[in-house]
Amino acid sequence: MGTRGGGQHGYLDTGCEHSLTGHNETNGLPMSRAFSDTYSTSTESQTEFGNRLLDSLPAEACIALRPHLRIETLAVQDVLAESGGRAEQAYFPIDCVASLVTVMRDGSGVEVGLIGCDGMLPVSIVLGDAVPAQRTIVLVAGTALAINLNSLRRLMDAHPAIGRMLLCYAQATLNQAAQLAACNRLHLLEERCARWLLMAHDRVRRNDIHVTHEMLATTLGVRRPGVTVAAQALQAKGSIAYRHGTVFVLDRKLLEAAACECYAAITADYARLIGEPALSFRPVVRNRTDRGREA
Amino acid sequence: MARYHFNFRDGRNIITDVDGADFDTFELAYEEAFNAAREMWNDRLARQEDPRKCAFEVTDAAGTVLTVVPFDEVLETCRAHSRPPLVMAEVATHVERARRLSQEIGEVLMRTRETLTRSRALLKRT
Repeated sequence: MGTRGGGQHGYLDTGCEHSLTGHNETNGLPMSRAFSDTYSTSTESQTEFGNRLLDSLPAEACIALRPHLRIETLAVQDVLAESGGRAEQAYFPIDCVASLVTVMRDGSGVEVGLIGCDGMLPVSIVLGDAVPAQRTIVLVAGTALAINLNSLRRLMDAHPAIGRMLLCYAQATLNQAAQLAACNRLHLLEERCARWLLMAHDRVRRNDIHVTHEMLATTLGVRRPGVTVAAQALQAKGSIAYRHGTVFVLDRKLLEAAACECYAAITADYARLIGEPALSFRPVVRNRTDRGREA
Repeated sequence: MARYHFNFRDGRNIITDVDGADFDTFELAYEEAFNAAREMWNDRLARQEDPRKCAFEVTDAAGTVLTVVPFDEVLETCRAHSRPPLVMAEVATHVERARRLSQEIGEVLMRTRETLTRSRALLKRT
């Protein structure tokens, strides 16, 4: 846990870290990190790309990557990869959030992965497959670093660190999909809403998440009126507010309390494989500590 | 295409659907409420809350309630003998009620006219 920032940053809450530590203790997960053990990663100065995967790379790999990366602005509903299609380039999101959706023939679907500044897509190319099996659709507009697939493949060959990092991410993606499969089957909609909002909050790194109930419903594979009811329940608890297609995270601790265990499980697994988030990747948290909830 | 809102009632509270959503026809909006209710049954049961106390109130953009979809309507589809579709049944009861009301109004009107004629006759006599 040596990569954490010091305690002088009073505006950042540590609630998230408590829950993660708790998860590791209760599950007895080894704290070894498959990738970050090898390199000293995630120091605060190494956040030049704004993507956790790229920023976890050693300096020489970063230098080799930089000329191949270009910034692209992605809009809501942009389809970055289509199931059965052919990927042309890979994206490393900075502040946009994309959803990996398994789509059924009738058009219905469920999210099986959420990709933001913590990831890249399509992850299939890491394993040598340029045909994505899921649709990747942008949920929150923002920027991403794009790279030509052939360039990325060449860089993976030339710099084993890039390949190793991407393999660790592929593992994290598999684990996330497995966790979400169980979550979608076992957990209540309100818990899943809270889990999704926490995951999105980590990835947009802002307290306002531009997502409508309609999009949230498509993501969670349910009808929109049900999401409105679940979101209202979260709002009544004081964890979020919703206005005109924007969810405001008011109290992250309350949101964490309302979420199922899957948020902590996914976050801890990612940290184990890729590394703890640098300070700039931790969510901006403003808890309502003056509410006197315990009183 | 019109905007419909799905206000939720669970006996104690009402959750107003501020956003609403667009549907081509009222039937599709009704289907949305019905399917949402069907999906929400399980969560309600898991929380030991009686889903039969819940309902969606489907309104138009102006807030006029077009229909109420109680959650137990979901069970109606499980009944052995297929009944007329619920929307049609509801329309039929509304039509019947309108017919009865207009008949009642007609009767009241007739009685008022009779009273008026009698009053005029009385006035002439004085």
